[in-house]
Amino acid sequence: MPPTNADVLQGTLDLLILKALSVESMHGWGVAQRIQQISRDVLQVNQGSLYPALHRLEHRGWIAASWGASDNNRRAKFYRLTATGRKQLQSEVATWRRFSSAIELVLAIG
Amino acid sequence: MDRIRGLLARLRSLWNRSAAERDLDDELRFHVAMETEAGTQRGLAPDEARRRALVTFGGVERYREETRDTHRPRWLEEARSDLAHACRLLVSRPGFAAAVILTLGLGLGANTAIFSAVNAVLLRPSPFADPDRLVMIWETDRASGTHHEPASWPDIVDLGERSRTLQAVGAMMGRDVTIVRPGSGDPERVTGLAITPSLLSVLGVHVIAGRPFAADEGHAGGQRAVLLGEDFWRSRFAADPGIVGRTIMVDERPALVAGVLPAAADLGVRQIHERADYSEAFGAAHVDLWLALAPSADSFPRETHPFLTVGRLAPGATLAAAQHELAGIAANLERAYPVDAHRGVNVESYGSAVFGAVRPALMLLLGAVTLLLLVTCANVANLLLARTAARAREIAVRVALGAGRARIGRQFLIESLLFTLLGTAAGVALAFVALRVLITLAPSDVPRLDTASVDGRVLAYTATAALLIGLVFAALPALQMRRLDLQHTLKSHGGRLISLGRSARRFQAGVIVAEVALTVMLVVGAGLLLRSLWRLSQVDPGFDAGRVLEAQYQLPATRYPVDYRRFPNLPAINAFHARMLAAIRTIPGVAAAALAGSSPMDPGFTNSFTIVGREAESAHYPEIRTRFLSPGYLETLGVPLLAGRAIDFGDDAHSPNVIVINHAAARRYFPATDPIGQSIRFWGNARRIVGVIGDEKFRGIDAPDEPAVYAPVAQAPLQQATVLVRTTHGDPMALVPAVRAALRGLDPQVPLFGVEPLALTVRSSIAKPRFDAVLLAAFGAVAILLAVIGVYGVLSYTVTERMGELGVRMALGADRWSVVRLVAGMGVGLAALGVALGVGAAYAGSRLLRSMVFGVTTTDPATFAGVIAIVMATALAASLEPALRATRADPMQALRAES
Repeated sequence: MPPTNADVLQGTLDLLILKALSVESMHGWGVAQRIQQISRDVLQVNQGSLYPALHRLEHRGWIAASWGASDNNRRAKFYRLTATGRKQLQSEVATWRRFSSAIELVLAIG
Repeated sequence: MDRIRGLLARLRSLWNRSAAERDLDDELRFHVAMETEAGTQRGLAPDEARRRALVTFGGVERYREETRDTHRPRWLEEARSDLAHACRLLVSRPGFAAAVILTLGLGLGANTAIFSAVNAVLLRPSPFADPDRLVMIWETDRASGTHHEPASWPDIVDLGERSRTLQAVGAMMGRDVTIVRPGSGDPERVTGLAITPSLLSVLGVHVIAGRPFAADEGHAGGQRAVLLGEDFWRSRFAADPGIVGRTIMVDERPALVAGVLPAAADLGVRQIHERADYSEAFGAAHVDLWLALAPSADSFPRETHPFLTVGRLAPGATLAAAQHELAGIAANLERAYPVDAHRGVNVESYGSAVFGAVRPALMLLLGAVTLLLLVTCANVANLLLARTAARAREIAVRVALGAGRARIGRQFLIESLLFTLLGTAAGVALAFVALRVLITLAPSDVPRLDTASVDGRVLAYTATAALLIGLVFAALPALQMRRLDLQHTLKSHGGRLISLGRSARRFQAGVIVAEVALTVMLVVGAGLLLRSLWRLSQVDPGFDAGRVLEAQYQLPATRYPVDYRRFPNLPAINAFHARMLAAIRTIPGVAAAALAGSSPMDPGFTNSFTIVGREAESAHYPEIRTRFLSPGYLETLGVPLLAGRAIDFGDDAHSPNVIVINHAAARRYFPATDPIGQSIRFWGNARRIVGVIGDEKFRGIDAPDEPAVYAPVAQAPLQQATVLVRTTHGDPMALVPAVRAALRGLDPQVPLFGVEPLALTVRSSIAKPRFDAVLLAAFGAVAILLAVIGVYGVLSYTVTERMGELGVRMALGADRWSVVRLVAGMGVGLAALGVALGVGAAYAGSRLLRSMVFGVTTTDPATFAGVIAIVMATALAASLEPALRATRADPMQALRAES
């Protein structure tokens, strides 16, 4: 385990899940792994937040779920991005960019 | 689309909770399995990998809880928990729950049942086209003061031809007939209605099989045709459409079955017959057979008035315009024809002719059940107030833990709706039973009541009422809650009550007072009607109906002709009656037997008459009831002979015409002279009075005695006779087979009908007052029950609330008796105020019952006194238990609780 890592920031988990699923549909464990992988293990997804978040997104209609077989042939619940979810991802990405550049700006001036 | 999918997922998880839970378990298990696998790939032993995976994962239950939270909207989740809470409350206080549900069930059930009746009778659509355009055309007679006399055929023709405000007219008259169905040899007596072919188009009813009458059907020499009533067609012809076009025997002559009319087509026929002055009662609820009738001025001359006439207003014409125009035409007829002297026309809407008699009664009933529902609601409101007060601690705890007012309000709403829902369910179940009882008990002349059912409209009505009640009941405790003192309530140990504010207290007291007042009104009404019923049942009908059987037969004109040229010598008819009387007198077990023109409970008909020697004076007398009897009549019915002699076997067609008169006729027309030996002239013959007999209540036992003459059966053109037989002992119905056999022995084609014990006829004649009294008494009883629950509920609450104070009083030396007096005094005081108000209202309102009471005034002091005593005693009884409980207040506990 790398010495410096961070739990996913409150509020950004939704964005990360949507981004992870925008590439391909996958199960919950896969989503966690993907986020960790892409962030080079900087971001740790807490399972305690992951599943509630997945279900919340499902109920909002941003992602949809179906049962299927995993690579090693286990029964797993696969999530995929819906059309609404894709739009939502775009707007969240835009929001995040605005937000992070604003923070950068503040830090640079400070 | 995605929103919908999300919503579906949410609903699925809400309703199929275990499946959603299982899915979640599977998903989490998969996660742990993957984590474990990843561990082994990193080189860990499988057991260690699994252990680490589980540790990283943490408690599964936590995820479940958090994930579950996303499953459903918060309000739904809370509503669910509120409902569960309400159910627990309901179960934990079964007595309270039962009282509320039962009370609501009674109120709503009575309302639903009565509304079902109102719906069926008054609100359902008419079977007729454009029913508001239909009018009844009655003749009036200024000489006798009648306004609802059937019309003569020539008058109908003249009115119909000259009128511009009437589009068309049709006429009807009840005419029971004997039929023989194809393939069955047995004659049957059925209820017939003779109508002009035009009547069907005037009413706008259509056949459901075959065709309506042709315009020329019913003419003297023409085709005889009939239409079957739907019910009759179903019951006797098994709804066989093949009967149309075939021939059945009607009064021994063939008639073509042209078609079938729907069951609803006879709406109002019976009521119109009953509304008419001088019309034979139409006894049955429905028409079995519709007969085509094309009257002529020869068969129905202008001086006979048998026709009930229905007209349809021309487009644009109003009832008032028709009345005005027809009155003018009638005035012309009066000038043109001497027999139309004193006659006029009365136009009445068909609806008021049919429903006029029943609408006020139904509205009264609806009013009574609405009062009952109000009492019910007041009661439940009171129970709820006391209940909420007792739940102060529970509510305070919830408020302290952060429940908002909206949340608490919703809790009340859900509890209230749960109660109302259960109460409504109980009410609807009760309504099904009550409606059946109502239909069975109700007088049979209420139009369409037999079709009453708890249908969609009725349920919508009940649901609306229930919803309103539920919302009001939810609002009450929420309002009460505003007075909740959080600090105080939480600090006290005993679970202090929300003490009611001045206004709530006043409301509670007001509810009790109003409830008692309403109860008094209902019970006074019931008391008056019950006393009337008692009086009615005590009336001497003028004859003894015990052990008497009555039955009727009709001689067909084909073989028993009435030839008025030879009248009263009608050999076939006279011989038949004589042989019939002889036959029934010899039946074993018969104590006495006689023939009559009609049942002693049948008003029969009237005739104009003159007294020989006083012609000028008697020309202005009203018509007199004309009845027939055979020798043995007085013995069979126990009617007293007051003067002269009775009719005997010597009074036949070959001896001088004689009559007996009743006491009322003797008093009215011979106040100063001896009637015996005087003569009365009617039907063109003078008849000598040979005797005076007691008055029979043939117009109904609540009607005053009316003058009547009784002619011998042997001197009358009597085609329809009533058999009266008294048994020596036992059930008179046991004689029916022997009487039937006697009749069949004389003529197998003549059926016996109208068979019933005379005592039953008498009892049925007061079915309506009995029904009214029983119904109102039932309401009264329920109201008393509710008042008891109400008084008890409030006192019970008050005692609980004031336990401390009462304890202190007793600690300071008050004796038990004074505590009892204090508590019971509150109940009795409120009841006394309610009784005072109720008596005042009943005194003012009971005049509405004036047309329904008999033998008592609507302000009968005995009834009022009795009701006051009953209600006060009941209130006292309801106060006793709380009062006695108050004496058990423990002074020590009271003092501790107050500190």
